[in-house]
Amino acid sequence: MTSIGALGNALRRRAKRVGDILALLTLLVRPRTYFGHPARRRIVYTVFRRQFSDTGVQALSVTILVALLVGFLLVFMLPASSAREQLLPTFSKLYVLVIVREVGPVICAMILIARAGTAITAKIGYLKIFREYESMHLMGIDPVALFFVPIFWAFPLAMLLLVVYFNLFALIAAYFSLSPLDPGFGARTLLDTVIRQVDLQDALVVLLKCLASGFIIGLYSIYFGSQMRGRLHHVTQAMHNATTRQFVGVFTVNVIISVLVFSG
Amino acid sequence: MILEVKNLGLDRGEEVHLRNISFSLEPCECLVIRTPILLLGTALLETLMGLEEKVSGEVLFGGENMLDDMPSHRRLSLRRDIGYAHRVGGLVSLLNVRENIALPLCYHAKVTRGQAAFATDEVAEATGIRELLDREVDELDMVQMRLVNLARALINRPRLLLVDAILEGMKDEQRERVSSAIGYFRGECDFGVLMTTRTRDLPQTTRVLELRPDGLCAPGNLNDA
Repeated sequence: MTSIGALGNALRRRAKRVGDILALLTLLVRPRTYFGHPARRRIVYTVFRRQFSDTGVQALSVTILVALLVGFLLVFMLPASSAREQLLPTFSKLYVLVIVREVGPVICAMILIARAGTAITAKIGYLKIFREYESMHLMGIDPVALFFVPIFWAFPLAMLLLVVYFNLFALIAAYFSLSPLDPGFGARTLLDTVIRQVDLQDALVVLLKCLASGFIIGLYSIYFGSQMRGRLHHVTQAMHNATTRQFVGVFTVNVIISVLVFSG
Repeated sequence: MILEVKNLGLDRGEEVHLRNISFSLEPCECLVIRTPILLLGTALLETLMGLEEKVSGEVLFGGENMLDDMPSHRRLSLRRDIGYAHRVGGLVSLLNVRENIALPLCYHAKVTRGQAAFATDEVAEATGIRELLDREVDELDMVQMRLVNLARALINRPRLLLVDAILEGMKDEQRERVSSAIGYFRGECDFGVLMTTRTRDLPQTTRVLELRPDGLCAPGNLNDA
């Protein structure tokens, strides 16, 4: 009986959590009336600008570094037997298949989780712990509308930015790695060959993965941050919980999208 | 009458924190509530604002009981007319000092960038924190945070100003600055002030009461509470 009761409790807690997360998501994506209120819009824009800078722009250096390494690695892994004239087509197929479709969105999501997801969980936790959340309520201010919404939307847009930079710099690294193997081709040739490999479906899949991953990371960061209650050690616990679920969520969504779109 | 409190009680579980609190506040009045424990004063002010859960009694502000169930937008709209100066924390760390001060004004009124800047400069000048405007919240010390809290509470020209023991730990010069800032804005809009304190009063004080866990009483009659 005890174990059945414990199982029931665990299921109830889980169901409550799912309900809370869905409720938060509803609040975050609900249309807002900022555009009729320029002063509020300025605050929202300020928070969004800062968050986008923290989340996307400041993560560019690490994204570029990882992209260069991955681009170099991809060339290194080209079959040694590839004939010189097959080098570019083989690389292009591999680049689109591996970097554009799969590795790029996942690595960028990992960077976003490590660089910004944990930071936002902690920041929102501090809002709760240092009673900033209550102070907003005392001023008659809705913190979700004014702060959480711009923070949430900064994540998918930052993901898009990071993925674009990642793909670009992986290609740059590949160009410099391929040049010694085939001195005859130029950057334009490489770019043309790669672009011919990318179709609308690839672009839509990458867009979908970026948006889905960004939403998952933002949603979990805000949810676990706002669940904190009063003690500083809850911050590390919330960061741990958020990060674990963000990793699982991002991997799952990426796999599901790839399987659904490319399995045929 | 701006505020009327009837038989207010707060139960936080292990013990009753507040009991039988009744008082009223007129416009232009400055009521100081002395408490030996500052947390008790904070609990009282937060209870008045409807932030506590296990509460009994009535808190009438603008003819409405702040403790009643009401739609959240109505509650937020009532709170718009109340300025609250926190003793600890209270500033939003996602914004800098200037943005924190302008926050309630920009949220509640459709002001232009210039109007918001003018109002922020005016209130910062009155509270003596002009040089702090471009700092981040985590760069402020405790007293500076209290002054910024006061500036933010005043910028919306509230009908009621709740001040949570912000004078504690301030130098004489800073206390005078607080007093003159409150005086300056009261001259303009005649709001009532309710301040908790342990040792420091405002010169504008019109009435003093003592707060104990078992009630509210006039100073000097603590045993009768």
